[in-house]
Formats: sequence, C-alpha cells, structure tokens
Amino acid sequence: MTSPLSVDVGGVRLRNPVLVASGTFGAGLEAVEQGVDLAAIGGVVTKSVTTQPRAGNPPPRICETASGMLNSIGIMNPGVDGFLAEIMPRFAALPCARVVNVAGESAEDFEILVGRFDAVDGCDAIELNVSCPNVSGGLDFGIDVHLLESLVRGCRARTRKPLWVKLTPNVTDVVPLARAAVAGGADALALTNTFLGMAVDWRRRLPRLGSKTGAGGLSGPAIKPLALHAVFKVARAVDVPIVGIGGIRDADDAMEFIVAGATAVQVGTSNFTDPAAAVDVADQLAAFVREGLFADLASVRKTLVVPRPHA
Amino acid sequence: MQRVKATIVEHERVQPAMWRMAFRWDARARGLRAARFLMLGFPGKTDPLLPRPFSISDVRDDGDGVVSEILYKPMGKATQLMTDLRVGDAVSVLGLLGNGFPDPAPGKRPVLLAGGIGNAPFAHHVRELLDGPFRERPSDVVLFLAGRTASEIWIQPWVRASGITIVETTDDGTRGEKGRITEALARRLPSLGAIEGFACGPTPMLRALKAMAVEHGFPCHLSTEELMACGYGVCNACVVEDANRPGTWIKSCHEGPVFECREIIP
Repeated sequence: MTSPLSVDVGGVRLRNPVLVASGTFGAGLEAVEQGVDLAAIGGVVTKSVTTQPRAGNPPPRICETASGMLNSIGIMNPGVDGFLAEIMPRFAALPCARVVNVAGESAEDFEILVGRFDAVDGCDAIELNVSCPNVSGGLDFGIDVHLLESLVRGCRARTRKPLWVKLTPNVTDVVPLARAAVAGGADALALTNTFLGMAVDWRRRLPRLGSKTGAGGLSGPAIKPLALHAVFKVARAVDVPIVGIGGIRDADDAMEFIVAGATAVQVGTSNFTDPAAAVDVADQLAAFVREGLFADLASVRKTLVVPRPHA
Repeated sequence: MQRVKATIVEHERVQPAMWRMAFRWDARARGLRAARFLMLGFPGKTDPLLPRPFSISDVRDDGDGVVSEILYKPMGKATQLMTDLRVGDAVSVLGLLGNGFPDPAPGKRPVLLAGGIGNAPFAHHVRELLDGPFRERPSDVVLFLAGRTASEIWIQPWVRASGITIVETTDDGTRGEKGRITEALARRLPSLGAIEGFACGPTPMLRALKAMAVEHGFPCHLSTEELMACGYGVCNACVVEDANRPGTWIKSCHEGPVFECREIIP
C-alpha cells in the first residue's frame, strides 16, 4: 500500500476512500465545469444508467426536511446508448476511479447493462442499483434474498470487472440481503441507498413530492445514524469490502463509517451544497493522517468495539 | 471548497415582504449577466440543509471593493432565517450559475416584465442595457413592475431615476394600473413597435406571457424558478417541460434558467 489513504474496493484501487454517490453528481462533468479537481477524490459513481432513456418524474422532485431531503427524481437519464455516446468519453477521462451505476426493471435489463459496460474501457467497476425507490420493479430485487442472489449471479456471469451491489435499507434486516449479494458474486457492497419517506402539505391534503406514490427517498445528515448501523451490522456478516453511504459531510463522518467496517465511503447529498464537498472530506482525511490520528486506514477499519460490561 | 464565504455589508427590508441583502462578493469576476444566479447557503447548518438560488439584482463598487446584491421574499424556512442575518454575518456563496438573459436583439425594444419578487434580476438588467446599446435612449427600455398589491412593487431608486420607462400594475389597483401585467402590456403593444420580452415572475404569469408572445409573434425570454437542490446541474430536481418533446424535462439551473418561451411549457 503506497499511500496511507489508498484502498482496494473489490478490485478497484482508489487513491483515497472518498467517492461520490450515484445520483448526486451526474457523471462528474458538471463539477469539473465548476472547477473541481477530481484527482483529489477516490472516484465518481455515475447517476444510474438504464436500458432506455428515462424522462424522470414530474416535479416537484425534491423536498427539504429536517436535516435531510426527499427526492423522487425517477432516474432521469439518456439511456445506455445516449450515455455511451454523449457522456462516457468525458467520464472515461476523469482522473479518478470511474464507477458506472446501472438500474434495471428486470434481470434481463441488468444483464444487458452489465454486458454493455463490461466492454467499455474507462469503466473501472459496475455498481448495481437494486434499490432505487423511485422506479417500479427495481426495489423488488433489493428486498428478496432469492431474487437478489440470482440477479447478482446473472450479472456476475456477464462481467469480469469489479461488481458492486448497492443495497436498500428499506428492509427489516439488511444482513440477509448483503449475504445474498455476496453469494451471487458481488465484489463489494455499497450501503445504504435512501430511506423511503414522505412529506405532506396538510393544508392542501397533498404530498410535497410529485411521484406516483407521493413518497420519495430520504437522504442527508438525517439518515447517518441509520446508515451507520446498517454498515456496522453488515461488516460483521460478510467478508467483502463495504462502501458506506449516508449523510457524510466531513471526515469525522467518514471515519465513523470506516471504524464501523467500511473500506470506502460515498458522499451524496452534500454534493448539492458544494461541488467540492467530497474533495473537502478527502483533504480532511489527509490532515488526520498528518496529525497522527492514524497511520493508515487498514489500521483503523472495523475497529469499533461495543463494550459489553456484563459479558 | 468551491463555495466561498461572503460578509454581509447591507441588509434591509424594502417592503413588508421584500428584503435587500448585499455582500462583499464579486459577481463581475464570475461572469455577471442579468438573471444568472448564485446559491446562497448557511455555513455549518444542517437545517436548512440546502442552499437557495437567488439572481444577482445589482452590483457596484462601494470604494472597498465590489458588492453584490440580491432581493428576496421571506417564504420558507431558509428565507425566514435569512431575515435574522446581520451586517457582518457570513453567508456561503456558489456561483455564478446558469445562462442569464441574452443580449437584446438589434432593432427591438426591450420590455422587462417583473412579477412580484421577479423584480430581482432587473436592476442589473437595466444597468446592462443602459451601459450598452440604450445609453443614448434610456426611455426605449420599458420595465413593467407587477404585483398583487402595492407592497409587492419595488425597484432600486436609481432605476427610477435612470430615465427608463416604468409601468406599474397591481391586481387590486392599490398602485399603478389595476389588472394583470399582460393586460397592461396588451394595451401598449400597438405603440411599442417591435419588442423583445424579458420576464421573471410567478409561473402563471410566465405562462400567460408565453401565450401572448406566441399570439403576437414577439420573442420573449422567461427566467424560470424551480425547486433546486444544487444549482449546478447534478440533482435533476429543477426541471421544466420541454416544448419540443412534451413529457420530457430540461434542467432549469444548467440549461436555463432563461429559456425563450417557445422552448418550454411553463
């Protein structure tokens, strides 16, 4: 290991453990327009790519809540052909790890998408979005252990690239799903996606989001304790690397996920407040090393201990 | 850190529900153009979590450097909180973002159409026009200020003294002409000649102006305002409907916020 912050996430080498989360950063191109140096972070995970173009949901698509936000964007994207033609060449040129997130409504969709990106240079890993709450069908894979294992196995057969599976927290217990994804051949797990929620305008008797169900996905600092607990549990149940996601705003947040068992983290909603949010987290982690708080990440990963005074 | 901290140097209530905030931040050095916007955030806070978009209202040099000004109406959690900020407090700023109003087409009379807090981009817009092609003929620039009632009408005093033509309308007739901005514009269309509209205001107003522009065949640029999280094109929240492909959506922050009215379904 050359640098104290470099990590390997299921076959993807990252210069530091800070990535940006799918759906919160486009494919990184807009941040580059804003002058952000992506060579300072570990990697970019794209907004989900689907087989066909998707227009997305009618607005309103977001609603701010206490220390968080709900969204029902609906995976607005140009589809795999549009992505490969319009976005991939510039995405492939980014100076950090390039992870393509794919979402399907059927196992066949997922396998097609994984097969397409397996052939693409400049895609360092594929992350399966089996958990987006805003697309009918997609959520089913993330909440059924048999469907999930079979889906991941089918995708595994289509690629030799590192395969990450992003899990939904909208289940009673995420651990059996994590085990199923690993059994299917996942190289790493990313968790969590957003938590299903709702905001209501009671005076108008209407939900504040324009989605068909009125619901959306909650993200931001509000979900950090929930996501942290999920990562902590899963890290004790599986042996593959975990990418922690949920309300991370600074390096202290990132380290909480790392001591709980994450190998890397993704910054999500914070990208909306600052295109350089992930850069700031990575810079702060480097400062932690300089200050001597730890020598390298391997020495602190999964070191969280829950005291058991009566054991 | 792409976001920078800016210190508030002026902050005043100019109408019962309209505030003017100026901070030391150089919009000119960041590609200033009328209807471009910034995202104003609240350092260290998670509630409100997200920054909010404001168009640049005016920019000037106060002797100590460049000062940029916004106008806002307290409506939700963030804008209510903003009213408590004092001179000397810091806000965080990202920008400038978006496209802004295009340069006026030669031979057309610019008609600026402001509804309520949609007055925000127009002081600077007037300055651009008077520093540019309308320096010698300020009265050719027409600014409509519309509101539901008198207290929603406001523009910087220097704009009133600049020699442009100002028309005021209120729905309730408490100030200026009684009625809608479209009615006041319709009455003047025969005498204005070839015009080019530049509008900012509530969506129903933009919708009505588009109908009028299409019917009478004049160009009209609409500055849209949609709920947005990021302002720089990654959240995909602030969409407007694409008139060329109904049922599909265009990002207001990144492709807009200004669209020729025929490009979108407001």
